[in-house]
Amino acid sequence: MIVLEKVTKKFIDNTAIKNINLTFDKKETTVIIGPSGSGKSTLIRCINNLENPTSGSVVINGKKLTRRNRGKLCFKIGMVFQQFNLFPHMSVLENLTYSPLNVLHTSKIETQGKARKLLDTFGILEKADSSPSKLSGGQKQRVAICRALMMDPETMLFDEPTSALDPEIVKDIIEIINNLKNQMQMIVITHHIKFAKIIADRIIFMDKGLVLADQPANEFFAKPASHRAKLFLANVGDLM
Amino acid sequence: MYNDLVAFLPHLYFILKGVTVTLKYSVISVCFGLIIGTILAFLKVIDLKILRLAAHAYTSIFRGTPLLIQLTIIYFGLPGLIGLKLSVFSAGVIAFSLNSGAYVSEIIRAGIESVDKGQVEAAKALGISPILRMKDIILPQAFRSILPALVNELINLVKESCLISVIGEMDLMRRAQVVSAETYTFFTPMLTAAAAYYLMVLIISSFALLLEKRLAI
Repeated sequence: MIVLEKVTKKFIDNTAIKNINLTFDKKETTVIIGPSGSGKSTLIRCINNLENPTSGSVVINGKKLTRRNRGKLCFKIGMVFQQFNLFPHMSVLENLTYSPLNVLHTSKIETQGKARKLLDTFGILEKADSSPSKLSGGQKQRVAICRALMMDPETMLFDEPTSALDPEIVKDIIEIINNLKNQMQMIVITHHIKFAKIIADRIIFMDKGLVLADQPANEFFAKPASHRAKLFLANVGDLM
Repeated sequence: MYNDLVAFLPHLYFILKGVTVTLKYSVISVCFGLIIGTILAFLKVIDLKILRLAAHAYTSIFRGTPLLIQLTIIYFGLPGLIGLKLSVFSAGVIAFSLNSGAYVSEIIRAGIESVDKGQVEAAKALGISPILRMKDIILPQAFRSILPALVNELINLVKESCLISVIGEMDLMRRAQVVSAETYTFFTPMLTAAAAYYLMVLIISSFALLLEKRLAI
């Protein structure tokens, strides 16, 4: 269970998020939408302490998250980035096995077996020994998702997982993420409203660092709780 | 012409014996410089302000003053100051290492900072500890951009080690000077020394090129 209590994050020249109170307690899929610069990324990055809140606290399973204990509290929170961030000096298989072997200290044979099985389900087993630089964007993002899944996360954070991909490949990644639904808690940032409609149980709409709407997905798309969200949907609705 | 050449042969041999002296100073100093530089670079990237400032001050001073003065202070100045009399060899190695450490620390720091921030974030998100992050994720990637600059540093040291002749070591430079004084000609001895330095540099850089190719992905 993840609870954000009055979380504010200030950067040198602006306040990215202001006084955010949110609870993520169910195994549901939450999609965060909103215009660029609304603080979506900062919010999600506070959840696993990639950003340290300026004030307020993030509480994970009853314990307050700090820079010191982030390793202990966050290893069950997986994250997938827009730019994939695969380790370029390791093979695909090593990318997957590095953290289980070195953080969880699992056995080598078992971990490699698990990694190969995961790559197989994602249709990229033949790339196991390739370098990440030899993969296409869609393949890289699959590897990145596999890498996060290797840690058996209870929560997965997706920070615009499809924004750096070709439109044709976006669909594949969306399907993959949709298949993970109900297996774990997911928090997803996206600009694709269609994508949000497919996977979301709950929608959080943000603008200018504030949460303007936090409702069940079907309710949000039928009748958004905020006027700004209605405008946003009207503006982007036809495009994506 | 032919007779001149034959007459110069013993001198040539005498000068070229300085190659080992020059190499001894540069290789040993670059090793110590690497150790000092690595430690300083880590101090510069960790989250402790006092250590960071100290490391920056060190770099600033050693980069901002002439190497010849540093060498002179260590060899001639320290005995008067604290009664520490060093041999030519130790004074030379200490001066070169301390100086090189300052440059190497900047090279390594820049290399570490050149690694994409996303790499650190991905590693953090996977729960990889700071030490493992540095050792297995950042340094291997930084090394590729560090290597060419490190080779430059070694080349610099090979050439700048000629300053050791000022405090009396019989290196390439000093030997060429001695022959010049004996034969009253400067051109041939100095050209011989220059050619020897140049060859050493060529060999080092071609090794570096090979290594770079093998490290490329």
